[in-house]
Amino acid sequence: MIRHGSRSAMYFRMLFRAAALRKGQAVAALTAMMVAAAAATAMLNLFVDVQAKLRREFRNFGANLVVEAKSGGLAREEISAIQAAVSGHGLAVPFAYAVARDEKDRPIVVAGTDFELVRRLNPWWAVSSWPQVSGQVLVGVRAARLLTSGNASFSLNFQGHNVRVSPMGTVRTGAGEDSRVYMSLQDFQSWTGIAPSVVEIAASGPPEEVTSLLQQLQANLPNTDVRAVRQVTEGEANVLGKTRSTLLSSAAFIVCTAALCVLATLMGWVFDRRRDFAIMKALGASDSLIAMFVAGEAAVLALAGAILGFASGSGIAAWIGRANFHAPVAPRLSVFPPVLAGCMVVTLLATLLPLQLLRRIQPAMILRGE
Amino acid sequence: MGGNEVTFVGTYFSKPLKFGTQDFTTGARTAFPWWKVSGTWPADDSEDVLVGEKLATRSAIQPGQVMDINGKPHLVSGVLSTGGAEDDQIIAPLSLAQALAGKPGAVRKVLVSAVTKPEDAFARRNPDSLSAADRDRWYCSAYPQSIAYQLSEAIPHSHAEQIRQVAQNEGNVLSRIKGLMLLITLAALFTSGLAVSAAMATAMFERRTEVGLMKALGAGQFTLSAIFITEAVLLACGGGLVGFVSGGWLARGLGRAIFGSAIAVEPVLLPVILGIAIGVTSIGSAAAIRRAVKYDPVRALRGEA
Repeated sequence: MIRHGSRSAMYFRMLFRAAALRKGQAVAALTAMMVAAAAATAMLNLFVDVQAKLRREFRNFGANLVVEAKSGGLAREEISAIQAAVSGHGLAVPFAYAVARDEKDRPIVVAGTDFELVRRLNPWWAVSSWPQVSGQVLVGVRAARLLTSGNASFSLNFQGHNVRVSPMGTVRTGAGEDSRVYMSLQDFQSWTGIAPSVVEIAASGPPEEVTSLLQQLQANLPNTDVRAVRQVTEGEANVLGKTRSTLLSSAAFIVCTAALCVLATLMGWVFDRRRDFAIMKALGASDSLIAMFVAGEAAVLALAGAILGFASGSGIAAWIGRANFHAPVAPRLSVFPPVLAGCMVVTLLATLLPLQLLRRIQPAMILRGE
Repeated sequence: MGGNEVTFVGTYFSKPLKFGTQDFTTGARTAFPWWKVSGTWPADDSEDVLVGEKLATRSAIQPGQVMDINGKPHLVSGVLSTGGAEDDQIIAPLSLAQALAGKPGAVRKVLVSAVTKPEDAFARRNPDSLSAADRDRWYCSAYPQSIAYQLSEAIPHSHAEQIRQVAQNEGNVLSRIKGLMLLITLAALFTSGLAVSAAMATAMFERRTEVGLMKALGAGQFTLSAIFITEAVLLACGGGLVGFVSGGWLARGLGRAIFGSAIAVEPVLLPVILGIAIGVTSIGSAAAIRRAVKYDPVRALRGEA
């Protein structure tokens, strides 16, 4: 027991004295190790997180799913079922449409919707000011040129029912919305009695979740037509896939470069200490004992490098997240095991490989300085 | 059609056009990559049509069938699925739609797919209120606004508007990706700087006897630093050159693999890359060199340092 204790004490003494005596080289090796681990951690963290962050950017494109009534309007229960299914991971915005007549009997499309939700669904709408109270409407820029002069109120007629509205602001999108009039759903329904016929959904989350939501809605709402907005979903998948590949390949190159650096530094260190190993061997240590000693040293180095690297790499990822997406990338503990494993493999490779070469040489030759 | 009114849209599918000396092909197949056709796309000079998916299901139309439009038979070459309003429409070659409407040569709307620059504060300025120099700069930038402005200038009695859903969000997403790439590049530079400093520390340590000998022979700290810094700069130039060539080759390969088009390597970047390499190497090796010139020559020569 005592013998065993003194042996392990000697082992650790040799391990740490070796590092303490060659401080500069030990620090260089540890730095190289740490840098490689930090690069790997930052890249893995970003790789997992950036896609979720970019997907959130893509939700600014508006709806990626649309539910449409097959005929007539959507029942109240259907709309609340959709909202229940979407709540928590997205937005569901109902739209009702009617063709009304203006004061000069020209047809104009009037839409009823929830302004609060539309504002969040379609952030690209350029709106001069949003309607606040009942009776105020949002007028498309092209419709505004026909309907009103200035901010004067105007009346609309739908199948004999008249309503007088005041334009609160204009909306400019460059698409169909420019020629429509938008009013709140309550105003719209009490005027026309028409129920919403379309619900636009911006579902967040990875494609599998969006697809499963699509299938769930299709199964639960047999009287509706549920479809993906392919212009948005396909573009999103395309850009995300390409960003992912670019990120992955640049991450692979950075990590490889750092690993090569570690390999070179450590190999230099081991070769530099060939005299130490020769003395050990001359004193009667077996090859396997020396290999164990070096492997132990490598493992300690890898562990220290991985911990320091994980900490600084998480910091780098968080900084990139904050600087670019205004939301930090949370450090992921699940990244640590692969980083540690990678560090172990690289250090063991870098130390045991030169040792294998030194093994063939007689200790006497090394000690003589040949 | 069967007594029902259906929206009939005419467009180019894959129309070869000539502008000046440039030949190019444009149409729905390139502008709307998400349009899927089961069957075949009609030729632009044919009388064939595409029928939207939902309309086809409702009226039981199959690709290859012949249908009557305004009393004339037309071949349905395919069924179109877009996930948009087109699913309820009939899409035909432009000339056919013009003939049907009795308005040869007339179009109602032209959709332009342009490569634009993300909108910034300058883009939102009104061109008519800008000074002449600023106006020229605004006019010649590829902002969605300036392209729309030039289009309305070129086509009298037309109104050009950017499609904000696409133009606005594209700018946002692109600037995010661009920022991400920039920050990753910075992180990579930082990493390589540290790696260089680790490698230089090892190299300097191995050469301590050499440093000791030079010092013993009377070399001052300045001379020594000059020698090592020159060495580092030469190393950086060599490494930078090799790195530029291999990195360019790598970027081309990646571009081809990921985006299907090679990334052009600008020769202008070479001095920039060399500058960065020299900077990273100098900063990375500064600490190692400083430590080396402070070695005590006696200890270094005895091999004790």
